[in-house]
Amino acid sequence: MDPAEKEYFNAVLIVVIVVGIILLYFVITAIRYQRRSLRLHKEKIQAEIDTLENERKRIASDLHDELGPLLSAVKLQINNLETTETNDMQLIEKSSRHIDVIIKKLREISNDLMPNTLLRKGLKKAIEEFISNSQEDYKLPVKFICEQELQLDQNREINLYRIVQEVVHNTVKHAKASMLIIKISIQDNRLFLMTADNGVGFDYFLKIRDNMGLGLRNLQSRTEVMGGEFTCISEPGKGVAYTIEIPV
Amino acid sequence: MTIIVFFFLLWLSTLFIRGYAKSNLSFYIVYSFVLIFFSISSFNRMVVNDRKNIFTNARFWICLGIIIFYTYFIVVNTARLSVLRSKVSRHFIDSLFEINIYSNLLVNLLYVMAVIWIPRKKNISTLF
Repeated sequence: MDPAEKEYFNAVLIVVIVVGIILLYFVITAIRYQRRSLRLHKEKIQAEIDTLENERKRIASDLHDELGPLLSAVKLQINNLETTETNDMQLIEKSSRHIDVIIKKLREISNDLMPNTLLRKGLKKAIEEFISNSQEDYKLPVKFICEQELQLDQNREINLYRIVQEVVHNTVKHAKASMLIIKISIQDNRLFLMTADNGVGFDYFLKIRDNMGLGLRNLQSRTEVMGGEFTCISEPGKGVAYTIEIPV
Repeated sequence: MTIIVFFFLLWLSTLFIRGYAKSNLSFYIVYSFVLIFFSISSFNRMVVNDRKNIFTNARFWICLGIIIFYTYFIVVNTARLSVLRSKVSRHFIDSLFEINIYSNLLVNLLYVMAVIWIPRKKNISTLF
């Protein structure tokens, strides 16, 4: 190379180095911001879920511990009323029946908000109870398979329970299915929650492109908070299958 | 589709103007720019939307590779384009190409990372 060419080549090399430095800086900052955004996103979802669950717990315990005994006391007082008139006796009996219905509904609402079984007996029993109640209410046959004992922390248990609740509600509301299968298994320190129905299904990619919907987003957020992976396989006419895989 | 048709026409027109025996440097530069813009846009989308560790995303490594390789490709081809009319030695041209060799090596290493992080097919058995 003659001196002019050498000078030109050195200029090109300087450009190459400068571009390299700019590219490196661009990539490093982008990755740092992505990590920060990811952390903030997880913290935000966790805070939202915690607030929601605490509020549910508070309302459930208020309903169960305060309104429940109060209504029982009212029922007792009504039943203690002494009357000889048939009309009054019928009225007392009717009011007593109404109070029974209110107490029953209150227990159901309180249990839906925060099931006692989940807190006392764990996830497996809580899901079994929820499924048994759902089958009575919605007339949807649900098969629950869980052969292992589940030892999870309470937050995970609550999140998994809410996921199952959401899946059952979605199936009842949208799927027009005649069968729902829910399976929980643990393999190689990973918990798999798999669900499948034989309903109408939907185009998953179309759904996430248009508007994901609150239910699906909820499933995804709860899975993300547990550090897991959420997979949905569905096609129109071929049912819906969800797989949630979380580390344990 | 519009972009593909536009580039095909651009490629054809430059081919007729310059003839196909010569390197079509201006076209190389234009398509490199477009590839870089697409990659940056995809890269930014990943940074904003990806909820997993970005290093485990194969697309991240591919976009990074395209950005790095084609940036240097533009630098080298712009340098070649600007010295095209003056008489330069063979050694000078070879030295310019050496930059591409190193960027190519780096990019292939990035593509290896992409291959490592190709999402594994999930073994999901249907419950029905």
